[in-house]
Order: sequence, then structure tokens, then C-alpha cells
Amino acid sequence: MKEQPKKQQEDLLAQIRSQYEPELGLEGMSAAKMKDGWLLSRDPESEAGYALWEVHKDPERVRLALAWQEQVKAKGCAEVLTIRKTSQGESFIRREEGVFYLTEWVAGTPPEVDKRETLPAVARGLAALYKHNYLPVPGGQLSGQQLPGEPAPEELSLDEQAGLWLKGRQEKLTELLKPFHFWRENGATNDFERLYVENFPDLYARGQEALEKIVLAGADWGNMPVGFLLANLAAENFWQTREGIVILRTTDWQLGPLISSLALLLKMYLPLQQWNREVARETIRHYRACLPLRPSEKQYLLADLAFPSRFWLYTRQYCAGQEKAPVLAEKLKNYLYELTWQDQCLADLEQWLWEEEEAEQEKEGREKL
Amino acid sequence: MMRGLERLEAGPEKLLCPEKHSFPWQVLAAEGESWLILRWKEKVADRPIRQLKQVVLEDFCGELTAEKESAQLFCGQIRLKVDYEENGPDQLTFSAEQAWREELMVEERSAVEKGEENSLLAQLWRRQAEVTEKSLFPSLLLNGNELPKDSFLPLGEKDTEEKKEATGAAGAKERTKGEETVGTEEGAEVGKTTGAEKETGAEKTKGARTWKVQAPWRCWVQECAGRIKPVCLKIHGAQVGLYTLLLEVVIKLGEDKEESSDRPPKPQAEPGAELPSAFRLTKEPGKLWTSVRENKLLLRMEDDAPAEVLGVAVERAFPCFSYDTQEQKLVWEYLRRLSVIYVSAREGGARFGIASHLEKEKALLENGAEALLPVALAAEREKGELTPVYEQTFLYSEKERFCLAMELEHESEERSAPGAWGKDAGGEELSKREAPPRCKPCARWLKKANGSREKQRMTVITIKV
Repeated sequence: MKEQPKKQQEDLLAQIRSQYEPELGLEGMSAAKMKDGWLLSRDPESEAGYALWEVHKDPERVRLALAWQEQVKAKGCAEVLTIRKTSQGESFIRREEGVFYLTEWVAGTPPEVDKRETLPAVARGLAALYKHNYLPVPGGQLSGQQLPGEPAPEELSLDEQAGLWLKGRQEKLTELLKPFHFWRENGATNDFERLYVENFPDLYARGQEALEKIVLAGADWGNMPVGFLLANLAAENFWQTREGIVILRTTDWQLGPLISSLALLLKMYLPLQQWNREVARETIRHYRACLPLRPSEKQYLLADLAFPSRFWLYTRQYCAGQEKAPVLAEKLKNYLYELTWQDQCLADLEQWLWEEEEAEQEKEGREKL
Repeated sequence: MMRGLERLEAGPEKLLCPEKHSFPWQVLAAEGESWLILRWKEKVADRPIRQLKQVVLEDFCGELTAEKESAQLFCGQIRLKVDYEENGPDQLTFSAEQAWREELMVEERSAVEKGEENSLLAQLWRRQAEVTEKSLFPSLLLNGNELPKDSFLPLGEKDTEEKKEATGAAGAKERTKGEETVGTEEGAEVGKTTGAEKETGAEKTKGARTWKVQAPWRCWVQECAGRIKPVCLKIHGAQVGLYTLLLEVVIKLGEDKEESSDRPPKPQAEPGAELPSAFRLTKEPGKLWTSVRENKLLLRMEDDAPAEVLGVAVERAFPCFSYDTQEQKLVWEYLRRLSVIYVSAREGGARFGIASHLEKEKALLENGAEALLPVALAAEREKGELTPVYEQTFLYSEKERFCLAMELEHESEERSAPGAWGKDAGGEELSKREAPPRCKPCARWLKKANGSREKQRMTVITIKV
């Protein structure tokens, strides 16, 4: 967010408030600055009444995100905030300084992601959001939209765009080949390069295998629910309320298989639980309670979890000179250690998921009989 | 007879380029001494290595196996053992504080910085490697004097020692044999590295493992003056990855100093009096020209940081003579490669390295104003010294003695070739030998016809002119 002088901020807030219905009482509210906007409340001591969000993104992308949020809220999803429209009936206000929109605020606390019970709760919130997944453009077309990471051609269908997302993964893996051949040919000069050369064959094979499984799982996209995904799964985008987890913003989004969000969530927060298999199972159970998993999604989940994404990140950071070699060597060593725990957890999850699958099939068979 | 020798090119700072570490051996040969670097790298562990405990030189031997002119070939064997510990399955603790942020970064990067990412990766090839002197992983660098003395015995002497032991007490004999049997059972094949072997007893539970390496080695030593003795100079063992170990050994094949000290010292000769063997044929004034040149070079190593220099070698190649009519001097051009074998200060990878500087040299030789091609030219280097000046920069000083022969005592077709410079010149022996008798025309053919099989049926060859 751009730093603005206080006077300028006050003027801006006043102008934005004036665009909303007076019944909301925004004029008399005090504003407390937060990272991505302001909390508006009648009394500074009391709970905030509204949140005014500031976004610096393509307004068209914000429009789509807010339409999605409004739609799922209308369908009864309690895990997103209610959007308040302007007097002119717009979901957001477009200004030079950025895009602004107003939501209701709920009392709560930031979630403690290192606690065992937080991850299943977040997974449940995510599933609730995806349960009412909504494609706001008729015919599944995003006219003139740019898929994250790709300068997507005009008039691409969502299926095709989801395919591009997969292509991005394959490209990541292919990029790893260049440094490997370079360091193998010219000799590794530091710990990071040595660790890289030593572990590349295994990690590359692991990545290839994961991609093959992802392709097999989603070869027929009809079997793989594809839609809007919440791109920002950082803890700061979640809010712990008495009723459960609330997702604060949906404006960071991308397209892809819905299950990839659960995979990302597990990859982000399960390391904090040392890849504990019970926490992993519990998280999947909570997600599935709200949004059942198809066999292809189970296959996708396991494959995506195994994809060595951070290996690519460290390599990229090293090649770009963003981090020093000793720091990255330590990180890579740490990641390789983590993978041994991840493997154990994935082996357990695989067995558990397929055993359950078989049990369900047996149950269905019995019911038919 | 001394004459001046000019050096035309002498840059202020010469850059030493480290050579690529080659496996399983790398050789640096100088006059009278050679260095042999033996290297092995193997992914030995199933689980990440926790600790490198020790490196043991179990056996080292070598002997002279062949001699050709002034060069000697040495062959031997080396056996090393590395003790290390693997991590247990529950000992791999990791920090997960940054995991969520980094996983998110992967997704964000893929979302917004695609174009930039490609250009950054393209910079990889232009990027200077970021080298640090400290490593995450442990390593052990052992000097020769830290190793057991008996392992330096040459092959023959070692055999004698073992025989002596065998004739001694029965218990000692059995013990020795027993140890040898263990070695054979462990599958230590010559030239191959044995895999990680599990130890027995309490150590097994701790994850203690052993990696054994046994390999033959061979190395030529050129221009040997005295008795050459192979010495295991240094050993370096290091962990170079989570599962990989590296072993390096530097063997020096040089003059046996102990034996040299037993012998009476050579009387100090006048400069130019002791000539290279190639010029012993002409000692008459006016026919032989010798000169001593002192070289002082500032050497800089940019891509590595040497902690210790083990030796220096100089090689010359592609000599080319011409005559400068204006200066009335003989012009001698050649390629000169100066190589340094050193121990790197940088931990983590291979630490024994060779760095070289190759350049074209040109010298003007005073040869009595004769516009003639010399019949031979030899250059000898006296021991060079490398003194550290400041970080990564050294002052190299040496003395070179050049001998130029303009005439031969007994001219022959073979010896007049200019290619006979240096060590190839036949020298005294050739001059003593009488020229072989010339054969009669067609004698070659007639001799063939007189072979044992052809005795019974004689063939008469008629040549029409």
C-alpha cells in the first residue's frame, strides 16, 4: 500500500465514505489503519463495524472476485464477509489511489496457525467457500482476462486456462535442468550447488512423477472441479471467530483445480506440525465434510503434495542472487530433511485415502444389492 | 661462457586459472618430481550423514616398475577408510517457520513474475559463482606427518616387514592374517571403492558406517636425478552433500631426502660448468652458450584461495626459432605453462587443486652473431619459490639455465634436427657410437630374400635400367 500523508488519507476516506448510504453511519465512525485498509467503528474502544479494503490490482479482477464473494455469501456461506454496495449500487470504488470496497466486520482474533486445531478449521472454511464455487462469466469464458502467470490469449475457456496453470508447473521443473547441467559440467563451487547437484536427480524424478499423476488425475477435466481459487492462503487472510474461520479477502485469486488449494494449504502449514499424519487426516476430513473429494482429486492431492516446489524456489532465488548461497544451502538442507517426514506422511495418507475409497465402494455395492 | 639473455615479455600480474578437478586422478609433473592427486566421490549413505568421524590411511605402497631414459614409472596401491555416522530416521529435525511463506511465494511467483523469472534465469550463465570459505558440512584435512609411519614403506620393503612378522610369534602372525582376511571379505577390490559397510555391536545402533576405498595408482617422474620415493603428502576427507563423501589424496614422487642426506653433498660447480646432458658433446669455447635468467612473476589466483602451495611445475612447448637480422640475435619463442599445486582454503568441496598460467614467451639469445639455426637448446629450472604477497597473490621467483649449442662434435643426420632440444637430444652416448655401415643398393631386398624360408628356392631379381 502506498504511503500517503495523513491529511491526504483523511480526505480520501471522507470522499469514499460519502459514496455510501448515510444509513450505514460511516461519517460518524473513527478509522483505524490496518495493513490493507481501515477498520471503521463508532467507538474506538468497541468492535469495528466495517472494514474498508484497499486493493492495488486490475479493477476487472477485483470486480470478478467481489462478484464471486457476493454470490457465495448469498448462497449462505458464512466464511466470507458481507460486501456493502455504494449508493450507486457498485461493489467497489475505483480511484487513482486504488480500488476500495467496504465489508462488514466480525469480532475475532488472528488464527494461531501453529496450533493443531487451526489447520482443519481453515480447511473447512476453504471448502465452504469452494462449495458454492461460481464462475461469474456466462459460458465459462473470461473475456480479455489474464490468467495468473500467463499472458493468456483472449477468449480462453476455463478448462484451457487451467491447463495453462499446469503448464506453468511443468515449466518450473524444466527450468531446473539448466542449472543442473551447468553445475555438473563446470563443477559445483559451494554448498548450495553441491546439494543441488547431489539431490537434483531424485527431486526432478519426484517432480516428474507428481506431474504425471496430476495429468492422469485431471486428464479429463470433467472429473476435476475447476474454478476460482483463493490465492492468498497466508494466515493474515484468515480470521478466527466464534463461529469458525472467516476468509477476509478474495481479491487474490487464480483459476485451477479446487483441490490444489487444499494441497497448498497442507504444504504451507503441515510442516509446522512436523507433517503429523493425524493433523493431515483431520484437515482432509474437515475439508471433505463440506466438500466431498472425488477419486481424481485424491490422486491430485497426493501428487501435488509431493511436487518439490520449494526446490524450484530456492534455485530461482539463488540464480537471481536474491539470497546468499549459505542461507539457501541451509534452507535446502532443511527442506530435504522435511521431505523425509513428508514422505512418511504421504505414504500414510495414500493408504488411508484409498482404503476409505475402497470401503465406500464396498458400501455402495452393498446398498445396490 | 656466459652470455646475456633478454626476456621481452613480463607482465605485472599473471592470472592462475584453477583446472577442473578430475576424477579419479590428476597429475602434475615437473622436472624430477611429480604430484598425483587421487580423488573419489561417492553417494555412500542411505540417510543423511550426521558426522564424519575419521579418515584412516590403511595402506600405502609404491615401487619403481619401469625406467625409460631419464623417466621412471612408479606403481602402487592405496587403501583408505572413512568412518562416519548416519542420522537416524527420527534425528532429521527441520525448521518450518518459513515453509508457509515460501510455499506461498512459489504460487505468487508463478502468478506475476513469469517474464522477469526467465530473464533472471538467463543471468545464471553470466553470474560469478558465489564462493564461501566455510561449509555446512564437516571435513578432515590430514598432513603426512599425522599418518602412521609404516604406511610409507615401498612395496618391497613392506613385503619384507610382513615376512619378518610372519616368522615371529604365532599370535602376531594370526592377528595380521586375520586383519587381512577381514579386508578381503569386505570386498575391497582393486581400483574400486567398497560401499558403506555396517559395523557390528553397539556402533550399529548409532548409525556408524565405514566407507573403504582401495585403488591402484601409477605415475611417471621425468628427469629423475636421485632415488625417487613416493610419499603420501596429504589426505582430505569431506562430506559434500547429504549422502556424499569425498576423499582426496596427494602423493608426491620426489627425491628421497633421507637418502640424499646420507650421500656426500655435491661440490658447488661454477655457473655453466655443469651442463645439461644434452650438451656434454661440445665443451669447446665458442660452440656452447649458457645463460642464467632470474624470473620474478607476480601470480594471482582469482577463482580460488590457496591456503598452502605444495609445489610448482614449469613446462615449455612448441619451440620456434627465428633470426632477428636487425638485432643480430636468435629469437626463441615457446609456450610456457606454469602450474601450481595447492591446498585450497575453501572448505566444502575438493581442496587439492592445480592452477595454471599459460602464455607465449619470447627471448632474444646472443649466440655470437651467427645467423645459423642452433643444433640444440635446453632449459633447466632451478627450484622456484612461491612467496605469498597478499591474499591470493604470490611472488614466484626462479632461476632458469639455458644452454645453446651451435655445433656438434660429430655431425650426424639425426642429431642436427632442431627438434632435439632438451631431453630428446642423444648427447654423449650418440657421439660415442659409430655410424652404422651404409648398405649396398638393393641390399634390403636381397636380405629379405635370404630368409630361412626362402633358402630353398632362390629368386633372382633383375632390374632393368
